[in-house]
Amino acid sequence: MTISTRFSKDNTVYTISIDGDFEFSRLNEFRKAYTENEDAIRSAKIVIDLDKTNTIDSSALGMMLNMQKHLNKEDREISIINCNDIVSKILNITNFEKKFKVE
Amino acid sequence: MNKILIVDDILTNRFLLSQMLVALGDFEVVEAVNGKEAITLFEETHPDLILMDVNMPVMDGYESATAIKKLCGNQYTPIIFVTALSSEASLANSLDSGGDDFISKPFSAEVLESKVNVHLRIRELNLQLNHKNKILTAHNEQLSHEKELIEHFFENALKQSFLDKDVIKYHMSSMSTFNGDVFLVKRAPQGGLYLVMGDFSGHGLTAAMGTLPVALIFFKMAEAGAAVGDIARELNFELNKLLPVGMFFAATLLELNSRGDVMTVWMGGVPELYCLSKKGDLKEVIHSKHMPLGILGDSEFSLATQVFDVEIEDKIYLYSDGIIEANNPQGEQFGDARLKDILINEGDNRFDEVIIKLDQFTGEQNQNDDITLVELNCKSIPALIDAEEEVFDNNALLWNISISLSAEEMRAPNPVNKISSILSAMPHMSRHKGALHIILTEIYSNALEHSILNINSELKIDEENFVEYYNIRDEALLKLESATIDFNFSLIVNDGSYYLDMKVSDSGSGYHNKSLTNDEMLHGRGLNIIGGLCDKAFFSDDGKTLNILYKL
Repeated sequence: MTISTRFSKDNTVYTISIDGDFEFSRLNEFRKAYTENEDAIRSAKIVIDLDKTNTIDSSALGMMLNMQKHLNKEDREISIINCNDIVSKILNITNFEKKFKVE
Repeated sequence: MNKILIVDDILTNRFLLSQMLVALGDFEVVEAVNGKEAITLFEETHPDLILMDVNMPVMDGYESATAIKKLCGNQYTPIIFVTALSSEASLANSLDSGGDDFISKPFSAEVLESKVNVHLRIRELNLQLNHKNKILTAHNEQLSHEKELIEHFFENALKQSFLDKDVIKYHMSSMSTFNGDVFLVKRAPQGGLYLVMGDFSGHGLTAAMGTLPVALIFFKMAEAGAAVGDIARELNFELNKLLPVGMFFAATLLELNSRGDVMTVWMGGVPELYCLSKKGDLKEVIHSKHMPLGILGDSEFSLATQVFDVEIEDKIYLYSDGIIEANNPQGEQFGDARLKDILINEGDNRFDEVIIKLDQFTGEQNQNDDITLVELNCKSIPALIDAEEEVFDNNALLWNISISLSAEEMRAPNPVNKISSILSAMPHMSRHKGALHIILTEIYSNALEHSILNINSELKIDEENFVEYYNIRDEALLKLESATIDFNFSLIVNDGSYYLDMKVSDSGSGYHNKSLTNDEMLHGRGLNIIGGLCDKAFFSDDGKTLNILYKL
């Protein structure tokens, strides 16, 4: 149940992978994932990988919005990938594709 | 400095002990000659520790210890028996009677020191604990009191809701004392009602805080007969200012018209809304088209609404995601499939069945989010006859305003919205905002497209040419160098009745049909709408000025 991060080989893509439920208790962990090494992260393309995430709640949505604001990223610059049905549905209902690229 | 009470009937024993203690360090010594005196001295001098002999005249150590312990209450005062007795039975006795330890004679100063220090340390811990408890208790009491006050606030703010049982059925259950779900209903002055149902992210007091500004704005705008999209926009604007980034308000704003046959919704981030017929057939499943409120900036915000035809006795179901996400002990979610199933299959009992089945499903599991379920029964709800009308009859202040649009302003987005806002802010106008907005929109389109831009309205008849029409319009608008449209609005009295007198003229070539009624050649379908909504409409100035009389 961890949040792991990695840069691509050429440092152009920064992926944050969330293992387990993405909810309130992960707040500090998640924040660390985008504030440590902030400068390098800002200049990369950011991807949130939810492959190992079962479900998300409203605080997770809030955390992602916070990240976008903090890193000054434009709408749909940050991608959210590998969502399962439940997660897709939640992102759909909240029309999150207005702010994030959902794949 | 710690105070030690020495209890022993034999002087030399007392003397010995007291000397030892003084030599060991910072100790103040008090002496009692028997158990009875010990009790008295305990009450008078409040020692930190008691060294108690066992066998004494008048009252022995056991009895004294028992009595002193009772007097101690919460304040732990260690009693160490100083005893020559060695049988295990008597040692056990000493502890049972209230002693905390014993020291057997003969003993050395080191042993005495160690035991005394240990027990004083324990006493210190106990005193600190008591102190913290006191602070906590006071704190808790204050919190309880504050909670009551806050609940009072919320009740007052939220109690204006219109909750006629024929129209509204609702179930709200909050996870803790404070509810982050919002459900408010208000009758619309023009007839019908407004409803807001929403859910702040998070729960508890932080989520509940947002409900207050929402209530204030909602009730105020509902009373003014505002459009649902405008209410959503205002809420979004204000919540943006108030809420920290990452916190938002998923909500449905709904208006049911006075006849109960048209429903308008703005939905952001909420689960599907279900519409069932009187017989119980599923008529519509309506989805959120927007993000929750409090996320998008004002310029990104869309107030586009969805409009549906409904019938009297149709049932609309709204709910917060707490229902969908409720867990059973196995960790499964209740889910929207289950909910939909109950709504479709349980007939007229469906509302109660949802609650019952939800309860059965979650069983022992604690509620993990606020839950709200609402059933809106479509009914005809008449307009409010408000006190304002009476005032209207006696000397309403007559006013006149003029607004002029230039070519630049015509190119800006939504000039009609701006004019509509200004107009509906005038006295006695807010109730008519809806109708007036429609009229203004049509007048503006006509003036702009036909008189100023001279586009052939015949093009608009055809669905296919519709798009082409608007492309032509946009191009022409971009090329427009100078033009004006002048609006003049007056509140007038005619034959004892109040009217809004509107005159709209423009700098264009004019519209050449002189009458607005029963003319089948009119391609501007909008002009027929105007004719239907107001009392009199006619052109003057060779088609350049449109005159409208709208009865208030």
